[in-house]
Amino acid sequence: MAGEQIRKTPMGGVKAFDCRNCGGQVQLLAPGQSLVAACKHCGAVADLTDDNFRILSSAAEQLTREPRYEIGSKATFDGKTWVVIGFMSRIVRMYAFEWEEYLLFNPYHGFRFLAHAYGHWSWIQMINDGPLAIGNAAWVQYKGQNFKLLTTGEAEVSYVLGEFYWQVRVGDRAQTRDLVAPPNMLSGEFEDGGMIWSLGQYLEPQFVEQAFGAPPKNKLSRKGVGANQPNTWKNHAKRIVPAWIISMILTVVIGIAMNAAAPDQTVLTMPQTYPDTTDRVSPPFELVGGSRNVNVGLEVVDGLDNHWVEFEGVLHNLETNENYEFVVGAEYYFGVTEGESWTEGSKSGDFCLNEVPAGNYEMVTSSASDSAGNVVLTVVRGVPIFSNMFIAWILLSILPVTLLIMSKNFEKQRNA
Amino acid sequence: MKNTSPRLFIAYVVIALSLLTSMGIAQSRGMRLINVFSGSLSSHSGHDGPEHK
Repeated sequence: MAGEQIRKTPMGGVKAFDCRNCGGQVQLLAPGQSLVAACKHCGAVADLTDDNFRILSSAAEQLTREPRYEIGSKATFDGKTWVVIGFMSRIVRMYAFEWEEYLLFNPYHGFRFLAHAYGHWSWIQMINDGPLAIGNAAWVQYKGQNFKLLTTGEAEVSYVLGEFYWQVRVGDRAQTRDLVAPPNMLSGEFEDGGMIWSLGQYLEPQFVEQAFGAPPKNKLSRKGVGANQPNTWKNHAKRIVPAWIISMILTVVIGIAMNAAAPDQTVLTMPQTYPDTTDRVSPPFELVGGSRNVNVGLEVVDGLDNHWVEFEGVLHNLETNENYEFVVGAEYYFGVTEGESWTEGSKSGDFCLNEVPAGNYEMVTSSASDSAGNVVLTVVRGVPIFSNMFIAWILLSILPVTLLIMSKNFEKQRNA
Repeated sequence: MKNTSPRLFIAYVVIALSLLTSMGIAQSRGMRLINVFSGSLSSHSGHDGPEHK
């Protein structure tokens, strides 16, 4: 990022010079601070510590690249005014990953960097209290934050424009290491056996535009996930997952407690033959308690081999004359196909009626079937319902699980 | 960055509480949860008249 430490002294008092390569005049934006300046006319990089402004490197390529914010642009960050004095492009050839760095200068506060890659921006400051030796550690702690190693590679300067406070040249290479704790990023560069560290902070593109008061030239939409881009899915999930766990536990508690309290009382057992189109009336029976469910069950006693049976009926309230209709059936088939035996269906069935009030009832049924046999019909008051617990679990899990999946995908893209 | 976490969290808590309440009601009345959502809390599956009598 910041290249070499300042070792030479720039020539004081020089605010402009004539390029030794093309003769064009180069105005300095940070006179007395910059060690090198790239000619805006030809791209040649001049040594500002040399009396004759010797050329350090000729333009490696044509001046075809345009900074998104021109040299000399002003921006306001943290209430301070900064001037863009340098622009360079760097590349990690191994990953074909290229990014831009803008060097900003404020005479009272020194230098800062603004990095841009694929629509993502970071505000970067050099630090001198970075981690000492990190080796190949996957995690590093800095100022109470855990930074995760994201990338290592060799960064090469591919383009230079403007002024710099170190002797930068196109082709300069440095081993780099980026560690992230979004929105922060620690970037280290190996220099002379030691590491030079910088601390970056992710900036939303609109924040950068506000700082400059204008959108960047050739504005790029954000592509993929920025190295230190905050994972909003993770932030959402962090809040919601505890509420999810608590609500799942409450669901179990409510489900078990209330199912345990369910009467689950058999109030009628009635053997029947089928088929029988005549309405058969059961003996009266009483449903007690408030408004609860009633389950009508059917169990085939004999018959129903490769056949079906269906009972239609009502629970008739003898006091209010209200009818509660039900249809309960069963079908059972079996056979051998291509040497393999199979079965389908079952010899039992049930139908649950919701909110049947207390009172005296009788059950009226008739049946249809393609065979003959015997069944036992049962009426059970207040059966436990466990499906509610599972349905609640599923509904409660939709949002948290979606957030966790989105968060995971976000991190995958960060590492891509 | 616009932080929508609190709003989403509050929305989730409201949904979770509604769901738990619905489940409590459903369990206390021996109903299936789906019937609570479909608005059949105060209705029943029967109708007037002794059709089969």
